[in-house]
Amino acid sequence: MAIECKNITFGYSKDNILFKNISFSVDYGERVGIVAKSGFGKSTLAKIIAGYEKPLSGEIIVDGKPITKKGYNPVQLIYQHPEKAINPMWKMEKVLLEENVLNDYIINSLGIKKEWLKRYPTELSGGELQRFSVARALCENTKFIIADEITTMVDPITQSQIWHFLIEECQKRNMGMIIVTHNMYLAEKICTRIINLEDMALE
Amino acid sequence: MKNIPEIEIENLSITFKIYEKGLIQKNIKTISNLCLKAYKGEILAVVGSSGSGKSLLAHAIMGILPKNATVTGSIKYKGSELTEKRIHNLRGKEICIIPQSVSYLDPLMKVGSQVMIKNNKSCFEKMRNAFKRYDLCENAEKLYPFQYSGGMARRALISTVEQTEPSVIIADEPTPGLDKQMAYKTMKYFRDFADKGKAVIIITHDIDIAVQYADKVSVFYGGTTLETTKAENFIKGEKYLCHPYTKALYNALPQNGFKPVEGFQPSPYDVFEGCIYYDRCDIRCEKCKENIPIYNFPDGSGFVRCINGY
Repeated sequence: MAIECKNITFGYSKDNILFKNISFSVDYGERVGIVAKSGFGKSTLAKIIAGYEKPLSGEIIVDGKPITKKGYNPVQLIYQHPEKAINPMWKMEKVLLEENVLNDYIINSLGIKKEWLKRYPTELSGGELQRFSVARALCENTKFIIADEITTMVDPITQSQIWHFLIEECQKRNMGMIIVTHNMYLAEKICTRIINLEDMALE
Repeated sequence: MKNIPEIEIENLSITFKIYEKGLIQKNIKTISNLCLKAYKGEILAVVGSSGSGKSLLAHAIMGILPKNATVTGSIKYKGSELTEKRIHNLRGKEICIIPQSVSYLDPLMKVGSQVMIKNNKSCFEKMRNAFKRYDLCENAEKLYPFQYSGGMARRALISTVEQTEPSVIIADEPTPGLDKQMAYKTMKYFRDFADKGKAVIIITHDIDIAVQYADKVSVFYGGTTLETTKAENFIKGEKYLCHPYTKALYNALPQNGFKPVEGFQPSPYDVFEGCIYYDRCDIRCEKCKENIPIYNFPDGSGFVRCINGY
């Protein structure tokens, strides 16, 4: 098993528990959809798996080892709100150079225009920024991608383009994916398996 | 004779003056020749490509564009020109916007208190009722934005319009981050609002949800409107839609084939003659490089900007 979530419990304080004992695992090459109602804690869970947030209890195991803070994290999160995920003081070029993904193949496949590279994040639309967030996650050391509602702010054609590209990349590199979405039609198209967290919380 | 539209936009263009290199300035046109009408009692859904200027349109109506933007063309409210001074008095009262980004919430203020426009009892009551309607519990009033999920923040933003009694609501992507049930509930609320004789403009990418409640759909691409049509045509199917881009949009929905289209929207840097969708269109021809006429539908429900007409 590649990523294992073991009994993850999270809350902002001991008496305000958001979710309890969430366990599942995702293998290489799998695309697992996560669904639950708004406010359940899907994004928080995504952050925990990517190592940005610490759970109250439970652990995340990647390839048999717990996540360490050292070095490049093979689990990359693509965030729901790109305007909050990109340093507002950096030009887009620098954002891509940081992850060493400034190559023509990725840029062209995602429809990133050369002139956008010279701009600051506030000068791009939400959909345009999200393409950068996707590109940034595709560093060659990435083994897992967590996609948290990454295409809710783009039009259906761009949504379809981004997903076709991401799925192709994942298959090519045998990456695993965890996909958070509210759109069941989309989930059925792109996921190999769907987990409903609300059912899991009831058990 | 149809009544006067609440909001009528004719030939709107928005140009930004930006610095290219050093002190050299350049104008880029982000919106050109845009036409739109929003009537009382109707929901107009604005759909289309990301970066096609949908949010800019909303900001232009509200008069909150940055200083380096120049607006030409006309925006009318209830039949008369919406001047800078007029919108200044109207916004937040008669014309309300629900902003797109959840980062519009003040991170240092409790959500409940920033939703209220005045700190008095009636505003408090309105806020509490609105929160209740959107399943935000009393506890949620006292939380800060960082403790909110994306969907909760979205609902808090929506609840701000209930503070006043606006006659026009512009909602900039009100449904992302909401689960299906909540998204439908929100749209239902906009429907009730329109049925009370108000005009609602909803900017959205959730076409499948929006068309079930909207009356008309306006399709944007590259800063202009390519087609305005009845919402029911999106439910009836592809052959009821006229413009090739509208059809492509329909076919790209996950439930309708999830089909991508080669290529990307042209940037405002490219100066264009003829059809803006030219290089991605399946049925393009030489004539498309010339001026594209607007064909109004015979029943007055909308128009299409394509040489093939309707």
